[in-house]
Amino acid sequence: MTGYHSAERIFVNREEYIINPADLNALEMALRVKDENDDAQVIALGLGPARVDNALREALGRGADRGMLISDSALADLKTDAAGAARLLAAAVHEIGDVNLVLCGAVALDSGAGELPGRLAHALGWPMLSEVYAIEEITDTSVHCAQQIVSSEADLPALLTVPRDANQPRHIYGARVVNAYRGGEIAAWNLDDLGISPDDLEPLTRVSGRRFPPERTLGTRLEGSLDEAVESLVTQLRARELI
Amino acid sequence: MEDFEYLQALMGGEELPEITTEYRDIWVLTDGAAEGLKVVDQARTLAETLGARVQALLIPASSPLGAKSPAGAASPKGARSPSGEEEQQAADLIAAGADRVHVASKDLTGDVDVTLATLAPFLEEAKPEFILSADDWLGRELVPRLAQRLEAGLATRCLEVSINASDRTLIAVRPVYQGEYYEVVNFAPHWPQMATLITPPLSEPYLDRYRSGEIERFTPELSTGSRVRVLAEAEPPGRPLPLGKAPVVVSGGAALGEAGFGKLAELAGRLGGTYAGAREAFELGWIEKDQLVDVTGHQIAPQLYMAFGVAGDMLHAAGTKGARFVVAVHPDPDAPIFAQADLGIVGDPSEAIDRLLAAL
Repeated sequence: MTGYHSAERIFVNREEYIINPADLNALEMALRVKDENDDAQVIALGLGPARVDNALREALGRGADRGMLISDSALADLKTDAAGAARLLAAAVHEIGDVNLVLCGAVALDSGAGELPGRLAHALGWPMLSEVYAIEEITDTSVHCAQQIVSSEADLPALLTVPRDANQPRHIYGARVVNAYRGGEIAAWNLDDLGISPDDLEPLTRVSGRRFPPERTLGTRLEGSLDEAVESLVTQLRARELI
Repeated sequence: MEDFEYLQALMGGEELPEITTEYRDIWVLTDGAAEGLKVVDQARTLAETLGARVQALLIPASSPLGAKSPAGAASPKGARSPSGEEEQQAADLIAAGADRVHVASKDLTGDVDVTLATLAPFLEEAKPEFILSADDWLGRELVPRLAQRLEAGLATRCLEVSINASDRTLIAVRPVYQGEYYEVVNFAPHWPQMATLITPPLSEPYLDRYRSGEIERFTPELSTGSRVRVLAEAEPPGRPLPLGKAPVVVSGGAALGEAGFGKLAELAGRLGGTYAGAREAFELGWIEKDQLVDVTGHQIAPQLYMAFGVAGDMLHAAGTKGARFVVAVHPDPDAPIFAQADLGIVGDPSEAIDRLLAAL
C-alpha cells in the first residue's frame, strides 16, 4: 500500500496489500529458531478480512508450518481497534495451545503505532522483550535475546517484538508457495470458535478523518559568508530542536 | 464577529458537559526526563479547557533497552537518581504546570512487567480521566500494556491532542505512513483515555517557579516475580545505529571530496546520528552499499537530513523524501538539491563541516 495526496483529498492506493515488513522479520526470526530446533513448529497467525489469507500463504511459502486466520464478518463492521485485536489474538494463541513464543513486528508500516504487541503481551499475561535483533539461545524455560544495546532473558512463554531491520528475510520457495495455494492448510476461525462475542470488541478509538501535514517551503538559502550562514543554520536547527 | 469570539473566549468559551463518571484529572506519566515537562505543558492546556487538575506520576525507572541518546546528548543513566534529583524533577513538573506530583519511592529498574504490576493498582484507584505520556520508552513499553490492563483506548505517537467539547472525549492527531498524512483519532465515551505524544515538535514549556503544587511520595507494594532479566549491557556502539532508525543522517557526495567525507563520521557522532553517502560517494568507493542513501539503496525518513556536496538527482530525492527537515550545502548554486532542501548554503561543504563541528 502506498499513500499520496492531491490538492483536495488524500487517497490511499489499496490495490496491493503486502505483509507488514517488520512482520516478515519476525517470521524470519521464527524460521531461524526452527532451523536450529527440529521439533519447533512455526505458525503464522493472521487477523483481518479474507484477503489476509494471501499473506498467510506467503508465510507458508517462506517456510511456516501452518497458517491460522481469524476472520469474521462482524469484525469489518465493528472496526476493531488494537484492544480488541489483542484480545482476539490472545484467544487464538490459547486456542492453538502449547505456544512458547509469540513474535510480532515491532511497528506497523502504515499506522506506525506499535501499540498492539504491548497490549497482546498483557492480554496473554506473558513477559515481553521489545526490539529484539536476534534470538541467541532458547532453553525449555527461557529465551535469551540480543537487543540494540543490551541483551536480555525472558521466561517462557514470552512475546518478542522484532524491528524492521533485524534480519534479512529469506526468499519464498516457489514450490512451497504453489503447494500453499493447492492445499487447504489455512485454518479459519470466527468469533464463535474463539468464544468471543462482538460486544467484547467494541472499539475504544476510531479514525474519524485525515488531514494534510503543513506545507513545507523548500529552497530557502542562507545568505552571507560561510561563517554567518553556518551560524544561522545552527541557530535555526536548535530552534527546531533538531540538534 | 471577532469581538464576539473574543468575548466568548473571555467568558470561558463553550461550556463542557459536566463529568458524569468517576474519572478525574489528567495524569502524566514521566521518568523525570525533559520530555515529561513538555507533556505536562500540553496537559495544562487541556486541563484549562476541562477544568481539571494535572497530576504527574514520577516513575523512578529507566529504559529496559539500555541508555540511548536520541538527540545526541549522552544522558548518563543506570546509576539511579538520589532523592535530591527526584525532588528537583518534581519541582520542575510543578513549574511546568502540574498541580500534584506523585513520586513512586521505589526503584522499579527497567522491568516493565514489575513496573506495571506495581503502579497499575495505584492508577486503578486514582481513576484518571486522561493519561498522557511522551513517546519515550515509557510510552512505548509501559503505556500499551497499561492501556490493555485499564481497558483504555490509546492513541500512540500523537502530534496534538484536544478535547471534544460535546462529550469530554479526546481527539488525537497522529502521523501515518511516516508523516505522509495525519489521521484524526476519536475516542469512545469510555474512560480513562490515553495518548502518547511525540515531543520534539512541542515547544519548550515555560517554567513558572512561583507556581505551587503538592509533592506526594508513595511507596507502592513492589510486585515480585520478575520474568525478564537484563543480562549484559553491550558497549555502545554495540550495534551501529541503522540508517532507517537514526534520527539524524548526514551524507556526502562528490563535491565534498574524500578528505571532507572523512569528517562525516565525527559530525554524525556529535549529532547523535549516523552517516551515509549519495550514489557518487558509492561509485567513488567511499561507502559500502549499506550506507547508500538513494532509491536503489536505503530510503530514509530521519528528523534531520544534512547533505554535503550531494548534487541531488531524482534517485536521491526519492530516497530522502521522507526526511522531516533537509539541509543542503553545495558549491554549485544551481544544484538540484537546493530545491529539495528546507535550508541551503552555497559554499564549500568540507569547510562548512569544519565550522559546524566548531559551533556544536
